[in-house]
Amino acid sequence: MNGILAIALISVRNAIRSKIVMVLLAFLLITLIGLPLTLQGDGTLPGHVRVLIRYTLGLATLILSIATVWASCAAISTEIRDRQIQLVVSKPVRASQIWLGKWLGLMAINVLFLMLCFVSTYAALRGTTTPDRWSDTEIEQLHTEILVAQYKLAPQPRDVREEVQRQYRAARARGEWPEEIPTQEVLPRIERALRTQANSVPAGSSNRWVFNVPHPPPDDRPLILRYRFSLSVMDLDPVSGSWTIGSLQASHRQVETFEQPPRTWHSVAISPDRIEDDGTLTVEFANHADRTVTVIFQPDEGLHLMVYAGGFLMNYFRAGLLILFHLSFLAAVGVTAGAYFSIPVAAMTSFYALLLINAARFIGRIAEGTASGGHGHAHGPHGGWFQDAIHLTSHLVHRGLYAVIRPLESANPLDYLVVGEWIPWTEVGYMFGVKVVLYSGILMVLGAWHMARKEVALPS
Amino acid sequence: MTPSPPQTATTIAEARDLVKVFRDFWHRPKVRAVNDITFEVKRGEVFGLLGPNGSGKSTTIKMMLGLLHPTSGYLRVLDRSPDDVKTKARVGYLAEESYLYPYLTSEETLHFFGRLFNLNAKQREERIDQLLDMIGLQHARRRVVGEFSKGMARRIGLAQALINDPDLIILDEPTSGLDPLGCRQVKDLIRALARRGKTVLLSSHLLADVEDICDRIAILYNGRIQAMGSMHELLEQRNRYRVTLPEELAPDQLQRVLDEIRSVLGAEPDIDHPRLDLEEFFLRIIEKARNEVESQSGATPSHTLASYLSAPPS
Amino acid sequence: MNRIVTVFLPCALGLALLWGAGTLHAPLLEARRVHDLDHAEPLENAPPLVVFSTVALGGFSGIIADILWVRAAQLQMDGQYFELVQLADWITKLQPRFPEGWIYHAWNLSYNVSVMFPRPEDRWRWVRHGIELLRDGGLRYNPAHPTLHRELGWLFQHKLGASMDQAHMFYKLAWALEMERIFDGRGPDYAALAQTPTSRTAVLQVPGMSELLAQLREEGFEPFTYRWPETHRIPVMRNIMRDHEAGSVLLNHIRLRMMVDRYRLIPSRMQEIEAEHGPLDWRLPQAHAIYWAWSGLPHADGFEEQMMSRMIFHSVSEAFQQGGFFYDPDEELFIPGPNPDLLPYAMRALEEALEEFDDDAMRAAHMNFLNNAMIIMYTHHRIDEARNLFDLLHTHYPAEAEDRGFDQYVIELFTDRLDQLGPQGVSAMIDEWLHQSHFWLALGDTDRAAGYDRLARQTWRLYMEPRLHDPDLRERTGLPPISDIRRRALERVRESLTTQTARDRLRNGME
Repeated sequence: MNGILAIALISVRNAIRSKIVMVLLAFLLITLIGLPLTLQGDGTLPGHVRVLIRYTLGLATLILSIATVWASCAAISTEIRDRQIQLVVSKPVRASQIWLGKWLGLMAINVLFLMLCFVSTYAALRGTTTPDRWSDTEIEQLHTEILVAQYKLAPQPRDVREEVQRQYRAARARGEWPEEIPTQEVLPRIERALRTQANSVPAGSSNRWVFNVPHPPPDDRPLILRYRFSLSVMDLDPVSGSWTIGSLQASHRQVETFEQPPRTWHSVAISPDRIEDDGTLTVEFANHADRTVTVIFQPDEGLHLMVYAGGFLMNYFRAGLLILFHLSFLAAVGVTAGAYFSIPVAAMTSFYALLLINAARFIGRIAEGTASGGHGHAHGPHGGWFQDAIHLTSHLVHRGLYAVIRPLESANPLDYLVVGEWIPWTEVGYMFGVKVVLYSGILMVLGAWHMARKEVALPS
Repeated sequence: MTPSPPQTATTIAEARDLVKVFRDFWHRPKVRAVNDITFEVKRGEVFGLLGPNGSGKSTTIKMMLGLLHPTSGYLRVLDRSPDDVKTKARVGYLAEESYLYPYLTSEETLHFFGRLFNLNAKQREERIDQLLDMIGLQHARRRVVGEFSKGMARRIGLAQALINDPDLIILDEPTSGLDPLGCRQVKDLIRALARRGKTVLLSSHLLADVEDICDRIAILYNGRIQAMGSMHELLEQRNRYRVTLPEELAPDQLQRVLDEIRSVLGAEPDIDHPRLDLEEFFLRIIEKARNEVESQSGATPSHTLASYLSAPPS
Repeated sequence: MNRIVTVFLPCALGLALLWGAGTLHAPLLEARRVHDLDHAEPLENAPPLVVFSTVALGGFSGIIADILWVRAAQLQMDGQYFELVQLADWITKLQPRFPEGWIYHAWNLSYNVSVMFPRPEDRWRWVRHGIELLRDGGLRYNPAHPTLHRELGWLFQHKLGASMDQAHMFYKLAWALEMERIFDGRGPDYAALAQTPTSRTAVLQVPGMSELLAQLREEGFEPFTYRWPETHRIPVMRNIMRDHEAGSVLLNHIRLRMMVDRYRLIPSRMQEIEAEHGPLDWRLPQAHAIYWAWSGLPHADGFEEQMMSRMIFHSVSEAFQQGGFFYDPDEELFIPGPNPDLLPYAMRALEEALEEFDDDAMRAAHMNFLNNAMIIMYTHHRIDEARNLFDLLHTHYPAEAEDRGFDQYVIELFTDRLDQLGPQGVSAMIDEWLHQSHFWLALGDTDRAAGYDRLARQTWRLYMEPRLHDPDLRERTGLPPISDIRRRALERVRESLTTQTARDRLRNGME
């Protein structure tokens, strides 16, 4: 333990002495001070706060990430280059201790600077959202919509299985689908159509959704219904409509009429006492458009309910933890790469690895694509075994790669913060397990294993 | 001249048929740096590896430290593999150049290495104090080693090699970069360590160093041991004699002795005045000058061995 | 063999690539020149971000701008707008000499994004962002680029000036209020501004200035920020200035600096424009459309020149028809309307255009203009001018007026032939005009009151004339006495007024 701490301390001092790391950290300071002073936002308070959080913390995280990768790549490789490692390796420390010491040192720097980033951004946030600069309504809006932690609820999905089967039988009976089209191709289409239909409201009619609210918020915290719709026509003219919220008894209803354009987010504040005793909340949308236009809510997240779950600061802290875990993973990648290669090669390797991780979804799609391509013989009879082999290899490579990087895929925690969305502790715990324990651990094993075998005193 | 040979002849390190081949990027053999060497280092002796640059001395030492892995052959240090941390815990190592962290002070450097040996703070404090006294860098305690002269850095290197009170001290070119004064101090120190019962393995290409302090040596050239044995065995010319007469000999007494020799041998003996070697002469001059001007520059060692450096159990 | 692989092949490859790159060099340089991508002239007085992006980032600024642009497009597609202004700002500042960037983003903010917001004040903010991006950014770095001038003019002419946007009245009012604060009326007092010192040092040397400044600062005003205090405090500041002899100098200095620095309006240029195109009302967007087109004209040729000339012509014509302005904060009324003083200028612009493009469409436009102008002049009670227009119409398009007299022709421009309208229709029309007449009277515009009054009376007379001598016809299709209709209209106007001043004006006017 003593040895690990000593190495950690040295790794801190090494990082601080790196010119590149210092330049990056200087950038970080400029960002933290300069950016909040020059940000424009869109002239509204929520816009200002969102831009502040997203760009100040986003840029700071980016700089910290680059600095971390660089410093971690340098951590072991420069000591090999400058041969200090020879004195260290000749002492009774295991390779894993050296790795861990380097990693812990970098994490100490990251914790320090991340704290600086989060504290100074919070200070900037407080300093620029004072009542003398913004109206009371805007400040109120800020505190109910952004500076909170709300969890996001989707409406209960409608059970369409029976309806799908019924329509399928009817369509077959009418001969709408030729026999050669297999059932498993038809059913999803019908289901998709039904789901879209369940989220559509034609002119003059209405549609109802039910939310299950497991933990109702305190009485002074309204629920926020956020929605965005598109139209069956190609224009952006506003549509008039109304929301009826709560049960059908008149005393429990809240009616909001509006005239709003499509394709942008709107919200309605709902008093928590509209929630029924069984924990459900019913909302009904009526389309009052005076023209033939159907309102369509995007099935994925065109309509959701934001429910107060806690204060902003704790959420902000959790976002910080998520970023820290990511940095810890980056540090692990860099330290291990530095154990294998010299700095420039290690840095390129690390950045390439990170690029792959960021392209996870793309790689996943390639994996899917090659899966069907391998069997499809789409290229005619001349493809033959050779093409099949290429397809299969490509498929396996991408599948394998995707399997490795998939667990690392995660939403940007800042995306949660800017919409005031609750970051669950489970997410924090999961990311800790994946990025810090599992992946950093695997990287440590790889790095230490190589270091233990490596001859650190080879003549140059 | 040479100290008495060790009483116990336990083997501290042993190499048999040791080979090290360096390979290039494509893994093709490039250099056979160590070529089938066999030797033993016994407890309590000062063993020297002597040879010109590139003869395989450093490579051998680095294999003994686990910094390089033998291509083939047998190598044990303190009865274990050199890679074993338990071995490393009992070895002190001075590299051929001081690979220290330039931004740490003398004190921080020694603390760092002390921590790697898992010494607690109190132990470290005590030992560092004594070591700094011993190498005469007490005054440079808080100076960063990056600013040090080569000689001062070597001393710190030596101090870190001793911080764990090692049983085996491996010194790669211990006197390189030192001025004659420093050379002498280091050599004195090695002799003192040997007297304390420490086993020392050193490499050097400076013949005088080796001759002054080693009990046994191996001469390497081109990766092979060309000669090995005790200093005495190797250098003694058994069929030649040197007679040292008492100092204040009157000229007529000398004449009588010579006449006697002539009569016995029937030949003329060589006769000249004994000379100081240059090192001896130089040190005397410096010693005299130092007594006149109390110089503050450089290092002024205490000449006393750090007391924690223990004798190994016999 | 190994030597060939490790040494010669890489060298050969390197040389081949170098040669390849070398052959591309000349065409690339040529392409740079042709597409005007040379950023050779140094930027002066640019903010640090711009200097950094153009100097330090070099060619990478383009890549960063592209990444940000992609992000902006993505966000816009997702319906998230709050970052767009920031992104547009960064994108344009990363490539300040790329006019299309400024144009696209200004247009995007003003047109695409603004309409996504239901509230007019939100919309106006986005339209403003677009204007500011072009005016304060694009034109600053590309002062001689004609398209930037035209685009800025277009925002004023079309987004603010026309009525295509649901919130256009809000934009007009917001802009008018902003301009009113600066000009304190229709437009700047050029003579006073010409006398006004431009520098702060010169202002400080005006006698009595230090006392005035001390008094202002004591009240919490800092004039040299060149920003107005909160709305309700402006009169307080004005009062202090009015009581001081140095006050008018200071006020004019602030106005001048705000015009030049903030709105980039140069008084001498405004004066030139007015000399050419008549006494414009600078509170209305048409004047600004003319201003920006006029500013861009010296840099334009070919298509751009033609477009800007047309913009000026259209805007002058618009300024005559819509470039007047009535605002009564007490009655909460904002009514943009015609500016009859501009008739001769609009006429001249039209005639010039007619000379240049003599075709059917242009003649139709000319005739429409004469008709509209006639209505405007008539309702502003400038009967002689309206009659001149009628004569002109008669000369140019004799078939139009046919057998009808002047008054009848004007009345029937509003509607069909009176005979076909029936008594209810005519009565309703007279009622409406009398209502208008009294309304304007209450608001203090006696000309327009008289114009509508004449319109109402002439309509009554024209309709009733054939019926005066035909009691039977009068019985079946006659109108009530005009005094009855007037009483009802007066009653309605009275009920709609909220202030005593307006009621007093109405009463005095009636007397």
